[in-house]
Amino acid sequence: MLRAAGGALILLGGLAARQSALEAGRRAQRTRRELAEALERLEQEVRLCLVPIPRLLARRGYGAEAGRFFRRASEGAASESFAERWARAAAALPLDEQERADLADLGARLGGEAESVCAALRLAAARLRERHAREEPQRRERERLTTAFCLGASALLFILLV
Amino acid sequence: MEQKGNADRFEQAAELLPQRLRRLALALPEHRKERAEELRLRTQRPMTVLTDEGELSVAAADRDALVTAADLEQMIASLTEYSRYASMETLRRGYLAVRGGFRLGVCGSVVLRDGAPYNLKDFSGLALRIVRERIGLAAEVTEKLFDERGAFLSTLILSPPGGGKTTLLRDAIRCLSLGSEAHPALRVAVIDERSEIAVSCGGCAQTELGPHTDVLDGCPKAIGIPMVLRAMNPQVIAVDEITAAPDIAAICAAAHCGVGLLATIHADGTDELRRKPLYRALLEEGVFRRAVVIERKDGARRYLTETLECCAPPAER
Repeated sequence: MLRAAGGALILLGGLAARQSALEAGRRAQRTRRELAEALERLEQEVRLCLVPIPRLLARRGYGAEAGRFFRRASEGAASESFAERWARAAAALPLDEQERADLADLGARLGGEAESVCAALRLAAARLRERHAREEPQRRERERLTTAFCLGASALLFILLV
Repeated sequence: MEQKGNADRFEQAAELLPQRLRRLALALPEHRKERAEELRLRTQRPMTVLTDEGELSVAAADRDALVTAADLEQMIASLTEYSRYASMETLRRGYLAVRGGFRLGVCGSVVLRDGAPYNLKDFSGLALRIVRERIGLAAEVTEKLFDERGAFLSTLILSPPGGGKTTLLRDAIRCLSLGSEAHPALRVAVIDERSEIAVSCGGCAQTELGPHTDVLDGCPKAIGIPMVLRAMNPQVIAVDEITAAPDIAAICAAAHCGVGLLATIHADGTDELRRKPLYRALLEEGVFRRAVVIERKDGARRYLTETLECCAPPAER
């Protein structure tokens, strides 16, 4: 009975280890997809209606990750400029260092004339989409390997124990 | 009571200043806040407040109130919500309509493109105008702008710059839109080319213009008048500061459609108006039937209503 319970715990532990190993990659992909969509929406609103960026960030319906990023970018001390707030929020994104740096730079380019703002938003969205597309097959492959490793290791432990 | 309101408006305007200058403005004595018309910021000069006594420094020591280029940049960035593109149209014409019903005049280096102003950079001076409403100011005057059958007569408001034309126009719009016991409410369309009448911000008029008023904001008069004629079925079209021939052509066209017009012009009085070639067409066509001349005497304003006769050239009579 004790062995069976221990074995079950090992299997559950293996599944949990797999889940946590995969979640980081999934979250990064989700963030890329949502942010790309949100930046394209911003670009459209700026191009068609010239709405100021802070008002666009305050709107809803961007998805959890993008919404969280926009909320962070809107909050901050009055002494802090918009670009500083944006860069601070970008630094907390669950993306790799280069992507975070690119997004942090985007904040400083959102205050100029409409064409350059739209171009910067389009470029940032395109980079995120490209990275998302590039990562997707790798992520699936990694998921398969991680699943196989975690389940294989826990099954081995289970057999040794039982 | 009105004085207290003026001080409150001043304090709201001061909230738009960078922190250091805001503290100085808010520390001004009450009587000065009440009479303040503008806050003026110029680089490497102390910030001043414009009152009927002239421009006065906001601090005892000039160096405390010294304005830097960074102050102006910061103020513009904050007032445009860090999105200069959203205010580019008005900025290139030298002003910003600011939340709260204020207006910011902007000076700096003009960037020209194809010979026309495209942008402003290196800001050198800002004038934060404290737009004030005088609710009820035009009530008496407006009653004189109807004929014996109760029809509204197209009216020109005349005074030199700074005479209070826009303030009177704003309240006249409110009175016409609200109606009175003697006259029913009229649908008024306002072409607010420079955002001075309604001071619209985010689609909301920030001044009281009455319940039947539609505002077309930031649109040149010559384009806006036919637009509202087609789209909004107005009974009166109101515009501020007619200065160009295309505006006059659009006004004449609207008058021929049977719409009443309410407009302001920089002029000392009707005699000066007749002398200006640009406005002769308006008088010759008989577009306007009334003129309200604002006179300033001993610090007080008087509003004189005159009848404008059609002065067509002899050949046409």
